Amino acid sequence: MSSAAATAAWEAVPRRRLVPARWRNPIGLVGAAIVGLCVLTALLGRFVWRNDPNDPIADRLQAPSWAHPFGTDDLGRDTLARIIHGAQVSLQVGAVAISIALVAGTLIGLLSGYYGGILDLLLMRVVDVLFAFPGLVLAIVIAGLLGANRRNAMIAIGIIITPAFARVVRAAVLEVMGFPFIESARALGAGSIRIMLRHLIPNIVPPLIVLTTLYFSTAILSEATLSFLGLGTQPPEAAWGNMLSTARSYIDQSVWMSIFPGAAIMVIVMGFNFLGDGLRDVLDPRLGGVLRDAVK
Amino acid sequence: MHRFLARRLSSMIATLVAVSLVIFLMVRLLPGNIIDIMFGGDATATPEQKAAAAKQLGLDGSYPHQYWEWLSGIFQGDLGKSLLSQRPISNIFAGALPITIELVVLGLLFATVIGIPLGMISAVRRNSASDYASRVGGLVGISIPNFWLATLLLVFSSRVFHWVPPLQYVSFFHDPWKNLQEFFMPALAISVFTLAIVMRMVRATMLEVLNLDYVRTARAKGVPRRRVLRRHALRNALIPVVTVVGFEVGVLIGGAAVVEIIFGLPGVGYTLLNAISQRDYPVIQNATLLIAAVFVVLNMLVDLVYGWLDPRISVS
Amino acid sequence: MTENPRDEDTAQRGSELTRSDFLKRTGAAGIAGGVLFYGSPALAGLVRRPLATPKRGGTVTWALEQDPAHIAPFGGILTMTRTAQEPMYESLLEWDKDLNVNPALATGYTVRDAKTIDFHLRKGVKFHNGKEMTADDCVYSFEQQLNPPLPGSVSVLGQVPAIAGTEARGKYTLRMHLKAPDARIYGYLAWQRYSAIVPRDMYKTVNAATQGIGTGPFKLDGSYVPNDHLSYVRNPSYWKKGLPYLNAINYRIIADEQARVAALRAGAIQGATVSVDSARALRGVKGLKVLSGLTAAFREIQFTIKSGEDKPWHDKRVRQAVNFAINRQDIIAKVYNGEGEYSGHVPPGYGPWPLSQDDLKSKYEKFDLPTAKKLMAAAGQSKGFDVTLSTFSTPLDFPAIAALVQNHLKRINVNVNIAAQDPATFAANNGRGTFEWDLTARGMRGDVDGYVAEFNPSGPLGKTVFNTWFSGYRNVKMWRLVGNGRITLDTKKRLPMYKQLEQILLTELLEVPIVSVKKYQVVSSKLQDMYVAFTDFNTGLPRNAYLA
Repeated sequence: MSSAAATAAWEAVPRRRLVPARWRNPIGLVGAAIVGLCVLTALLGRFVWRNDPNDPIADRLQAPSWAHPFGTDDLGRDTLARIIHGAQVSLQVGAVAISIALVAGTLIGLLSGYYGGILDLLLMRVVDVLFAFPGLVLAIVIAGLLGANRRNAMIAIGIIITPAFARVVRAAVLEVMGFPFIESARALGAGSIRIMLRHLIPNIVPPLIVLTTLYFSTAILSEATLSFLGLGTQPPEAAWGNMLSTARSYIDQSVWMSIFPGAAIMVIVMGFNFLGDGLRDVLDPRLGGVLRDAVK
Repeated sequence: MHRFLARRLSSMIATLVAVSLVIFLMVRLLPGNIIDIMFGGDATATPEQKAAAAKQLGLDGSYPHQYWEWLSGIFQGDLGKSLLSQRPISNIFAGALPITIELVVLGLLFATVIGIPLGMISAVRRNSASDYASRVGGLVGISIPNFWLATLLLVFSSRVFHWVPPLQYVSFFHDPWKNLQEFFMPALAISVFTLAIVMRMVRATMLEVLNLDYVRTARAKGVPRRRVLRRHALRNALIPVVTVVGFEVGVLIGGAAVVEIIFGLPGVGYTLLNAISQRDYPVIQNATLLIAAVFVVLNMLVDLVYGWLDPRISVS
Repeated sequence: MTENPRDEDTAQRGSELTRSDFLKRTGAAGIAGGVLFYGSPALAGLVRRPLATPKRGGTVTWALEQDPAHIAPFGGILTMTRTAQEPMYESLLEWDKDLNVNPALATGYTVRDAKTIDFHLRKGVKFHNGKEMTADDCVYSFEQQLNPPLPGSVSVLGQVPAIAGTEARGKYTLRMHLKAPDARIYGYLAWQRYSAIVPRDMYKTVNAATQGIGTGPFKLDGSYVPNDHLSYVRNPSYWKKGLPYLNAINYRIIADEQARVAALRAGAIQGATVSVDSARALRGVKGLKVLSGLTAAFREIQFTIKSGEDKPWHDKRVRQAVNFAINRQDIIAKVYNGEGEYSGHVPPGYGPWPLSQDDLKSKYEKFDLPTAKKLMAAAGQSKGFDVTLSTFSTPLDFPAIAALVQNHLKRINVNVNIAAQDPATFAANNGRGTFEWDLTARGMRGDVDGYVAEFNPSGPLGKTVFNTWFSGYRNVKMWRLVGNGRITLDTKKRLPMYKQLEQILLTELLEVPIVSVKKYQVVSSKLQDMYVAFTDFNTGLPRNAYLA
């Protein structure tokens, strides 16, 4: 079922390469560049572009100009400064949500794959309950009911992407458990913890890397959607989703307010998708089967 | 096969019961309820008044009692009433469901009708310009926020064509033409993500299938390329697409919730979101359970269809 | 109630009233409050607008910006519920555009004693089902008002004055018994929000959530279809001769602002409420005109001053500093496009009760940074403090005002963290007093007492509210004024009491009023005599409007 293997076979003419073929992945490199740029913007942007994202310093609803390259918003705040702040928000939400999913998902997958039996049944039922909802709907319900703010949005997003991690880890663990070296480790008297730490975890790292990258984009997109619906980061704090939501009220007066935050979301999400896609191509020969189930 | 079905059904029901319990507790344990909202802003309420209002709405019973009332009601076909409007929830859904279903179906239609051919072309002309274009297009498609796309479409059509979709919901059976005008943009906006996924999936599986022995044999035997593609490759390439489509319905339901708000279409997502902000417990509970039930049943059907299409997968 | 000395005082004032006193005061109230018990409202309308003769006929399609949820006459918690049912339900009295109390289904009243009022019902008023309105119907209606059945909610009872019950004295006299003397009764009836008169047993004959039978200028055409529309047609036997002018009103529910704007541009609707910015964009569009006006809605910051806590703003000078450091002109310019007014605890436009704009602008709510800084220094807070300001996340003017206030208060070193919350969370925190500062809103009240009741811990509702928010605060003078104001029935005497109270409130500043907000309605230029109702309903449309 591995598509890269199939792809390789389909390729008729081998080319000469300096770098191994699978690392020469233009889409992945573009993705890496975009993601790098976004991270830099989030970390250093405010030192380069020193306008306060919350300070209504200018006239309202201005079109882009040298003083305000992305224009100003309904209160006369600098849109570029707000976009930069929004980048911090997006990456923070992505990172926290992914960490929640990574820890919870790995734990669930590991325990349920390693021990099997009743624990497996129980944990997989929990995962089933989470999988019984379309992700976004679940996020809306959780974030809406917990109370609309960024922390709760992060929790909600973490919860909705946990089951994907749990399933992939479980599948990977089951696969590794079948390998002879596990049995020999057991025969040599290794305990459960040791086997998990020494043998299982290293083997599930590659799929987790790909998964993390791909779901980072899901997390960011979900946060933007929740904020757009008023369930994530709350105004007046700048987040791309709530900027877009505000901008909708001013679409007659300033299209620019709608253009930049939307483009920002698209670019960062695209960056992570490109990167994830590239990583998958690179790591695919080993991971294709495991990842296929869980990856969007 | 029967045993498989029975097992799937029972596990499905168990899942839904678990879902109902979780959602029931969640709406009640979290901050703010409809009584707070009713007294909100004025906040001029004595505890006695609050208790009276809770009693009037049937929120004064114990949790097990309230839960039992809800569940037993469902089995008797009575979903209860909205706390705010006292409308029977079955009436609310009767109005909301057709809207969401139409959005999802249209979205799926766009995604498959456009996505499958694009994916095929991309696979057959591998590494051509059109392949790269559709691959990058696919990545853009899964990255563009649907609510932004919806906004852009609206702006674009109103500025360039001086046209906006009709603003009042019209049923398809009442006025199909007007209805389609109304649903075209929102359905397009939510279909783009799914379209990209379908395209990528078709491309990947197509590439695989084209490499399989029997396809190569067929080609070696001189069967025309078109015929190979149609007779052998496409059919097999579509099998995984079925799974994806099952999953994507969930994505479309989520997307529908968002565009329903933007385009003011009072579907299930719109209803759910309003109910959440009003803490209208029975509506939240039933809407969530409904969505979960639809989704779970759909996933089961997809599994069945998948098993039927691909006999290699044993259903037992 | 007796454990509180202030309360005894209040009670004594109440019992001091003799019947003749009461009659005199009420009579005076009638004149001071501008009660037009003599001329007919239609005539008054003609006097105001002598030039144009209204044309009869035509249909207006109007977009409501929110679903009313139901149109039951009693206990509706949404303003939109009343707006949607307004064309068909009336009460014993009514307000005109400027909140003067006019006769409606009652032609007048006689105050028998401090706790008994006889209302003289208008003869020959027909319900939409053809039946004549009698005192018996009113008795039924008041029973429902005092115990609103579903889909209404008993939660609105805080707005209902101390009515003990009513009885029919013959066909055309309704006797009302009060639990205590209560000046709020006339405003309650004239507001009409919770005081509709319906035929006896209406709830048994129709589904009150989607249908209704009233006496109003329009009758419901079919049923209300939730999230979609409700339609009205002219009531041919309406008791105000010659009214209404329109043949029909179609209310369509269009929740999305952009959709309403598009529908206005396309001429698909003849009117809708829109935001200040949309109104600005639509100004000058051919075939449309923009109406604007104040409503009772205003924004304010409220503090918690709880006993057992020691927050910087427990010091009055800090609250005053905050008040002087807020630049209301800046807020009006940036958030409301330059259109908005200063507000006291009683909003501008609320009859004769509020302080003048001049007083507010030049004295009580003056933007005065040096004084603010001095006050902070005097309170030992020149270094400032951190505080969390909670507010609603929507409508968007709340977070926008919060952002500006955050900015303003930086200058007196107060570091404001903004917590924007969804309405349910905000309401829960506000109601339980679990907040530091809230940026919130007040809306329409039937009587001026409604704006100050929370400042009296001995009143029936104040007891709960005051202790939730202000348990660490004492001010006997303030409490007395609030308590006495409610039971003083002579408007002439009441007026200075509330002015004095407002001055105290604007010095003590348990709550800091910020701005009063305008409402914008864009209508077809053919629609005449429509106005933005101060009550936040849509009263002009069923009552006055006509198509040229």
